[in-house]
Amino acid sequence: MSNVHIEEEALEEIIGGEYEREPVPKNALKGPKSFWGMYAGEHAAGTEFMIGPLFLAAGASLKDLMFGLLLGNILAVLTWRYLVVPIAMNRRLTLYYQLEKIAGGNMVKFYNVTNGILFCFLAGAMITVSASAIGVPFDIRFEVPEATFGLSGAAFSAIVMIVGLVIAAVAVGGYQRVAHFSNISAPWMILVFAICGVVSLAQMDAHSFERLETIWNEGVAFVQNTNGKESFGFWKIVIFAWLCNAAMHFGMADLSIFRFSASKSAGWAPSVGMFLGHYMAWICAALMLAAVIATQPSATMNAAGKVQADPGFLAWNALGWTGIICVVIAGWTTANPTIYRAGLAFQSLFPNQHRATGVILAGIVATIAGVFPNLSAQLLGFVGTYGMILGPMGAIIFVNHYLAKRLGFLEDPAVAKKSSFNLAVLLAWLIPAVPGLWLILSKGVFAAYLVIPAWIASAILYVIFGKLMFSNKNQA
Amino acid sequence: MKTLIAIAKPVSWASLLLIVVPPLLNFNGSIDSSLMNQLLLAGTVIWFVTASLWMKSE
Repeated sequence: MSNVHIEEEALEEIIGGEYEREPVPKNALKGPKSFWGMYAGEHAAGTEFMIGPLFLAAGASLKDLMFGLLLGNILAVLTWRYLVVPIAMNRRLTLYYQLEKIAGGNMVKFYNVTNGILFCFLAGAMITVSASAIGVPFDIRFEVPEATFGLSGAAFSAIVMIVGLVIAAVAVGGYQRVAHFSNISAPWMILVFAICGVVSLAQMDAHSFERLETIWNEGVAFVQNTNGKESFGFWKIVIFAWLCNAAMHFGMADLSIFRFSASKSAGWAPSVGMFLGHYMAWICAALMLAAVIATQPSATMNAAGKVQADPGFLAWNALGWTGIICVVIAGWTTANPTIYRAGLAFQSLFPNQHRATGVILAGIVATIAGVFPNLSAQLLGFVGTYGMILGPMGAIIFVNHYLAKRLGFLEDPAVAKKSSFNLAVLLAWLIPAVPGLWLILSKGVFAAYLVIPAWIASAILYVIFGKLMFSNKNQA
Repeated sequence: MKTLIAIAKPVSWASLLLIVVPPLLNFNGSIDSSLMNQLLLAGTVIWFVTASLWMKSE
C-alpha cells in the first residue's frame, strides 16, 4: 500500500521546501505525464507482500477479491480526481500550509506528530517484512504470536533490530540516495510482483480459472480450519481498497502533490498506482500463499499450528533469491523515506535540535514497532485506522473550501484571527476520531468501515463549531 | 561514459526479459524452477548494474 506516497520528486517538493508557504506559480506547474510517471512507481511497496496474502488468510473468495478490488480502486481514483484535485488546483498549497491557515501552527504540529507516529508503525511493518526475507537464508522464520505485543523468536527480533537501525542510519543521511535507488528498482519490482503470480500459478498447476478457484477455495478452507472462521466479503474488500489510502485522498495529503497539476486530468494518475500495486500486486502476493498452501501446507504454519503469511518465505518459495531481494528492497525503499518523514514531523517539536534527532527517534520507534510481528499481521486493520484518524482533517479542509463562506463563517480562520490553535478544528477532528479508535481497539470494528462516518461527522462538527466560534456576524 | 550509457540502456531493458520470459516458460513447463530462478537472478543483477549507470544521468 503503501501506501504511503514515496517518490523522489514529490518528496523533494513536499519536504524540501519548494513553494512550501506560497501557492505554486504557473511556471512551476506540471503536465499530467509527470503524475502518471510518479504514481506508476508507487504502491508497489514491501507491505503489498503482506497485505495480499492476508486477504486469503481472512477468507476472501477469489471472485470477490478480483471484483471487489476493481470497484474499490475505481472509487479511490474517483475520490482523488473529484475531491482532492479541484481543491489542490484552486488553492495550490501544501496540505500543511493549508491546514496551518485553517487550524494554526500549533495545531498543525499536533497533527504532524500524530502523522509521524502512524508513519512509524507503517515503517515498522515494512521493517518486519524486510526482516522476514533476510531471515529465510538463515532458516530464521518470523512467527506471529497471539498477543498484539508478543515477540517472535529472539533471532528474528535481532534481525528486525539490525534492519531497523540500518534503515534509520541511512535515513539520517537524507532520502535522496534511497529515493534514487527506489526509482531504479521500480520497473524491475513491478515485474517481479507480476511474475510472483505467474510462478504461483505454475506451482499450483492452475492452467484454468476454474482450477485456480478450486485451489483458492481449498486454501481458504485450510486457513479457516486451522485459524478459525473469518469472513472478508465483497463489500468489505471494496471498502478496504477504496479507503486504505484514505489519508491521501479523503485526508487530502495529496494536496501537496496535485498543487503542481496544470490539468485536472492529472487526477486520473493514481489509477496506475492503484491497479499495479493495489490490484495486480495484491492478487499476485495472495497467489503466493495459495501456492504454498497447495504444495506444502505445513510450511505456512507457525509453532502454535496456525497459518500465517510470512512474506519473505512466500517470495523465496516463488522466486528464490530474486524474491528475497525484492522483498528486502521493497521494504527498505519504502521504510526509509517513511522514517525520514516521520522524523521531520517529530522535529517540528524540537526546532532547535539537529534534523537527525527526529529521524533517529522515528527510527527507534519504527524498529520497536517492527519487533512485534502481530502489528504487521494486522496491517489490514492498521491502514484503515490510519485513514480513520487522518481522514477527518480532509473533511475540515473540504468544509473550509466549499462551505465556510456560504454558511456564514470564516474561511482560513487561523489567518483571519491570527490564531496559532483553532479549537474548532481540534474538536471536529477528535470528537469522531477518538470514539472511532475506541471502536476499533476495544470492539474490533473493521477500521475502514469508520473512515467515511468519521469524515462526515468531522465535516458536520466543523460547520457547527465554525458557526459558533467564528461566524462572520461575530466578526462584523 | 556516453558510450557506456548508450550500451547500458538497451542492455538494462533487455535484462527485464530475463525477469518476464523464464516464468512464462516455467508456466508452460518448458524450463524447471531451478533454471528459472537462476535466470531471474541474472536478470536482476544485470538490471541493477546497468540501470544505475543511465538512470542517474537522466
